[in-house]
Amino acid sequence: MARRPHAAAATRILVGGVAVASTLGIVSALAMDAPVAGSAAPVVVTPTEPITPPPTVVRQVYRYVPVYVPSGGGGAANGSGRTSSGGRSAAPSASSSAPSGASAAAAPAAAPAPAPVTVTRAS
Amino acid sequence: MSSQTWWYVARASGIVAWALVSASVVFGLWVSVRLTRKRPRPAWTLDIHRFLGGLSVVFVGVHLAGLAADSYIGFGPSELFVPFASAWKPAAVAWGIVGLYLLLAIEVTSLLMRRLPRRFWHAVHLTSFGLFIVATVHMFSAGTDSGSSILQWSALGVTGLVVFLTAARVLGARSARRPTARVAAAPVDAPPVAAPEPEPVAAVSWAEDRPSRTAVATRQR
Repeated sequence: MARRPHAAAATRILVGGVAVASTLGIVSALAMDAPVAGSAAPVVVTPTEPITPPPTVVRQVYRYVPVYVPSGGGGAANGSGRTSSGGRSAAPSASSSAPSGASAAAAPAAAPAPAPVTVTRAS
Repeated sequence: MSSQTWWYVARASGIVAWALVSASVVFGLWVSVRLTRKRPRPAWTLDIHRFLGGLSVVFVGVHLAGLAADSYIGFGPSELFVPFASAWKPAAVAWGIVGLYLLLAIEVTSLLMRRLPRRFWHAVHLTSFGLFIVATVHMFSAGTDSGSSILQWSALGVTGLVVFLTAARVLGARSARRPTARVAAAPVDAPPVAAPEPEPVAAVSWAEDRPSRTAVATRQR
């Protein structure tokens, strides 16, 4: 098989040219990407669209209002059979099983006073 | 010429040098691997493999010159040629310095190939795989452009190609050794058969395609 010097020379020139061209291309690309330092031409930035302020967001402030539920009349504090604490009364009692819609008058007037506790020290 | 031009030259020549080293490795593997059992590859393919190696040395030289000329990093001879001597990313720069020495060793032994023992040349030439790895690590650890997706995909593609061609080369070398084992296992009474010498395919094709001096002399007459 005969050697092909023309093919070798052409490929050498092609490879060398591609390498040099790539280097110059990368250099120019890097120079274009970088910010222009010390350039004499002033850069004026003009907005293409009118600047509109961002929409204001109205925040709703929720305040936690504690609801006192007497231990004797739980479950009917708001008249609907559900307390403000999500349907659970503070203390279960016999009246908590009353049907919904029961009036507040049906609840006992006052909670029974707790019995005095006598503490006896062990000898 | 801005003050950053040398820095851009250093970066661009480094990227192109990595591409040339990768192309040289891929081309060398492609030359030595027989993917098809057709006629041997023409001689100019090996010529281009050598040219790519030499060109990569030239571009590494441009890379070093750009780093030396750049005033921002302030690289001197010790930072350029001694590992861990630079204050700027010492480990990443050390990878590049090791790659530089590997590249020089491969290039010098290839130029002196006819005067060196073949095993020695081959052992040094095998370090080109290490050179490819070291150069890739250097590019991604020290390179400012390591975040570029083009560079990342290119490195991934070239690495896949190198792995594929290396596997083909290893499998091809194993299949070429099998006849030698059969000859060794032949009975003593059988006539001696010369085992084929495991020469690289590239060298064989180069020798076949190269015209002899007699043929050249005859042509000149």
